[in-house]
Amino acid sequence: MPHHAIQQSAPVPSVTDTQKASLLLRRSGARVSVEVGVPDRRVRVLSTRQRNVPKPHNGLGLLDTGASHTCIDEGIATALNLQVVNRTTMRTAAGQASTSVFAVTLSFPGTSLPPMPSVFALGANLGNQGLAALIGRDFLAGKILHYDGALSIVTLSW
Amino acid sequence: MKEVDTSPLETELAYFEENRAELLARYLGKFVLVKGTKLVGTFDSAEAAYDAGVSAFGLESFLIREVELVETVASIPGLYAGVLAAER
Repeated sequence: MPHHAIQQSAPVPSVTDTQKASLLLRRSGARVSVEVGVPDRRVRVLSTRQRNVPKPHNGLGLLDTGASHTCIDEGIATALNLQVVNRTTMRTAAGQASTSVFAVTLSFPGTSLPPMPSVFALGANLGNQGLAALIGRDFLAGKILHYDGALSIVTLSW
Repeated sequence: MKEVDTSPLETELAYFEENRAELLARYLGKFVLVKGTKLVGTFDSAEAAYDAGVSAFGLESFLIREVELVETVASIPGLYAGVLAAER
């Protein structure tokens, strides 16, 4: 496997900073910058028809090994006028619910993570948790995620 | 959980359900592209189906669905009332 890696961590020059990094990782989980956008295929159609192409939304994504599928915030999906291409059932801690599946593109600014140019992401109410996306196991497939709680470092290799 | 408008794909989803047995018999494991009450094509990946759908229908709605014996249920256990960012 080619080795590329990103790390989410804070420099640790002092005990105070170490404690802060530890607390941040413990409370917020492994977060990464994420850009949610309209798939290129749809952008081309919008451009051809001289329609407005929504600007990508930048926010935070949470690497969630508990999530089988990648999810995006429904508010962002609405703002980007993303296309619903399917409906599916989502099981959460609150029970089961039907949700929309959106065609979307995801990239990860400031990291070397490979973009996901054509993703089918589930709509979820994430905005109230400060998240634009939950990055699920469909993205993590074929990658190595190492969570080092002792050093407050998360490493993703692929 | 926020309600989402299901109306854009109502016809396509109904078609899929009504024809599920035949689709299973012929296209198990494939991704189908459905527009209205018409099966437009079958594909090896959802991405290929999406490309074909945008090529054929532009900005109009269309359904992409995998033909599965048992439908996948997405499991997102952390997604409930803020537990993704729980503090103590």
